[in-house]
Amino acid sequence: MTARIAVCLMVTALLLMGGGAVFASDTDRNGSLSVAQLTDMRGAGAASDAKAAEASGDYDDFDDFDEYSDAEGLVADPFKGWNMVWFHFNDAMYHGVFKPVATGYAWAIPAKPRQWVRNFFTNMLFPVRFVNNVFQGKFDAAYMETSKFIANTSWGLLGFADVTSGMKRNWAPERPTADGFGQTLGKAGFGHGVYLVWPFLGPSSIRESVGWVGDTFLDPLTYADLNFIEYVGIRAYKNVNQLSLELTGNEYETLTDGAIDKYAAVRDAYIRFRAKKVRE
Amino acid sequence: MLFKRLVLPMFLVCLLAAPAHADVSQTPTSRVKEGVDLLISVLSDPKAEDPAHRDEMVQKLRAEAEKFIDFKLVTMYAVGRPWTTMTPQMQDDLTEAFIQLLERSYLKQIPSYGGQDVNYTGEQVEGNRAKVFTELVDKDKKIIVEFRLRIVQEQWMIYDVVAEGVSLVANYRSQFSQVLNTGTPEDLLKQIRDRIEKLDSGQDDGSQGDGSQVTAEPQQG
Repeated sequence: MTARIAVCLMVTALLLMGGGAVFASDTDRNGSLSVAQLTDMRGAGAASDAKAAEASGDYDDFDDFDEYSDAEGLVADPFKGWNMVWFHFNDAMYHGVFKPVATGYAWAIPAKPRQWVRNFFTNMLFPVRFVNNVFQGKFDAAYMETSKFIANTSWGLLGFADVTSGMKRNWAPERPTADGFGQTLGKAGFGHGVYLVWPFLGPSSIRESVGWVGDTFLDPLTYADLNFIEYVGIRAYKNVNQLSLELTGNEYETLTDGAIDKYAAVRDAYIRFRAKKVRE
Repeated sequence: MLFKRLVLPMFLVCLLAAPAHADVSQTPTSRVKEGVDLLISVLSDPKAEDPAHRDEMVQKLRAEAEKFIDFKLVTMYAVGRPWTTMTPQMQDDLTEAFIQLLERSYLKQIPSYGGQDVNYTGEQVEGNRAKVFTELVDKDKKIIVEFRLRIVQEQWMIYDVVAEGVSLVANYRSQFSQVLNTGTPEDLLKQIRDRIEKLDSGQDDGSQGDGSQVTAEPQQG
């Protein structure tokens, strides 16, 4: 196991070095943005707002618009054509396949068993959260995750029941727990590189894609004796099960229903959400 | 003597002029709280989920929302710099269209409101701007929502909502700017109205006004 982790680290390190040039050019292009992100990370995100507030006074003041001046060019998107194709493919798959399937599944199976399935998959990804919590120095969250994992795997029957969800003390960390290696890389100061959209997997970037690869090495499912079709089937089932629990008012629909440009809306939301995850 | 003659008026001027904003009777947090409580009470009305009362509810929600949200400010920030070169007529038309778009996309989410708790975790005031930090606590997850406010006519008015780091205004700015960079304000207005029409006709599929034709089955439920 440890050897595998070491290999995974080396691979990601190599990938990152290869991507170094891209990251460098990215920071050049969006110099002001990276500065903004850095100040945000130090918890001084209000600095730029405060400046805007000082200069404001009436509606027509040009400085009024500075607060949102980073909305354009938030991330480099040189593969827009490619991304656009997969974005619309994914969107059509969501509305045409996954949502109807999840709706039928939710009709057939009561919510409780579906929650057990979700708990099981969540519990199984404990190594991803634990290792990244340690990397990010969130030892309280790592401790909490370990306690939860032990309790849910034993008393919770392999994680189907979340026996700790109702307990406040010791189980809920002050800070949200780590969600993956992409976040760890972000905390280490790596930028997104360029924005990417993958078929089925959705919005990503160079950094987050490397993060996914890293997380896959810590996912027990990777080491199960499965062929490719079985692996994909289980991943798809996991996602349909998840979707069946959030059919109304999920983030994706809230975001895209009212959008005049779904692609831009999702890109902006994805980058900002990841930035927030990196800050927390 | 000189001291009295100069300093006293100066002191008075400072007292009267400097806190021009201090007239605002409510703190930003209490203002947001009032708005959120009102919204929840409207949504908790059993009529909210009855399709027969839909139009009535929409009007009620909108009337209440306009007391707390300055939609013109929302639209202005979402449009960005081109706003200053638009005619007042265009500004009003865009604001109206944008309200209708938000109304439609957010009203669809009403059935998903399940009585979440709202915790007020802090506020930040800088001059005539403020941020109010809240947490929406659901059964098994917590969503961080930040309200941004500005003083408009002696009152704190909401002009942006930031959920999990995603700002409503910035999200629309990224969409609007693409249209405005290559097109005119009329194009933007048309795209917003087209989207409203699509939402009204219940045709909510993957196709967009960018030329790519993606077909998907119409959804029910």
